[in-house]
Amino acid sequence: MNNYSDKELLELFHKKDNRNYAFNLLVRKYQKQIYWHIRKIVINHDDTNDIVQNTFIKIWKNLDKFREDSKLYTWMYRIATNEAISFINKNRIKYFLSFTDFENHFANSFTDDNFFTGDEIQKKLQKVILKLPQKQRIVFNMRYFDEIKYKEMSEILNTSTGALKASYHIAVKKIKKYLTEN
Amino acid sequence: MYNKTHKNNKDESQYLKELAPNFSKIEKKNPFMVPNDYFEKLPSIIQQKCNEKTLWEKRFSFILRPQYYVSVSLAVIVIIFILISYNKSNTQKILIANNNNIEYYAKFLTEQDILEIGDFDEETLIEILLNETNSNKKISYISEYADYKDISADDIINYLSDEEDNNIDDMINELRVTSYELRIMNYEL
Repeated sequence: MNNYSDKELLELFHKKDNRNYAFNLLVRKYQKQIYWHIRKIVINHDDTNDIVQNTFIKIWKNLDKFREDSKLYTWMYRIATNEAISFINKNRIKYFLSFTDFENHFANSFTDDNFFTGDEIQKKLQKVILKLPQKQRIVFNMRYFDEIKYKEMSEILNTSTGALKASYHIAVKKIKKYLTEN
Repeated sequence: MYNKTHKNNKDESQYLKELAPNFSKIEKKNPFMVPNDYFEKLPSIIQQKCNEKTLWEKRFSFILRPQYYVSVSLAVIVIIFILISYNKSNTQKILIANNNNIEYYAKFLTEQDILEIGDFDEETLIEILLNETNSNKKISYISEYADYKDISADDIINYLSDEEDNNIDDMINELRVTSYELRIMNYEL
């Protein structure tokens, strides 16, 4: 359906008459990746839906200014990650919750969520992942589930590949430990 | 998304097997789901929101511009300036009007009278009271003061001294007004 490359989509977007069409194609191309990336950070579907919409509105507003120094999708991922982290921080401050309390809130919310279809082992794994510190959790999800290369992750998260590798390694070790203990 | 093949996938799974054998056995799948038709509807919802946002920004874009804040600040400064100037000119008008009144009455008052009106002390009070006794004849022509024509200055002082909370300043103030009114009336007569 959507065989346009990012470059072609950008060219199409820059033509005034095709802006809406080009953006619609862009959303269709990346909506799932962006959605699942955010969903793994905030867990709840309704929150994810709001953040996805805000992310694409930001992309719409700034696409004109996008400099093609980085890949389009790494730029979009960066916006999505920032939006999700801002959402968490805003809510944490709003409800006076510590990071630990907020992670527990996530853990409880996904088990009550009608949109969770995993079996017991998946549920266990998700609970363990939620125990990881925020940045480690993002790195783990991006590497393990989305299979994003360290180099691209480095552009998205603005962190060195070495630090990302170390972060992923520590996350896997923690998950292994939690799984063995429970 | 999870079926994506990456050239380093083998290395990755090997790495996991070595590092966390139990964990590597867990099937890698997405345990979450979305409502029906969610991804079919999402692009049009996003497009609609983007267009609404653009429309809003077009209508109210002037609010977002820094020039807007500069203009508003300037307008506020101008309004404050105008209000201050207006207030000043009104005060001046009142002062001029008061000066005119003084000038009007000054035609009838001697220099000594004006000085007396402006400044009172205890001695002046006594002097005024004594003068009032002399001017009682004139007062008697005015019906309002007719009953007081035989009252002397001593009577007034005694009367005021008997009053509770008598205060010399109040007395001076009362007399200042009375004296001023009487003088005006005397001259008008």
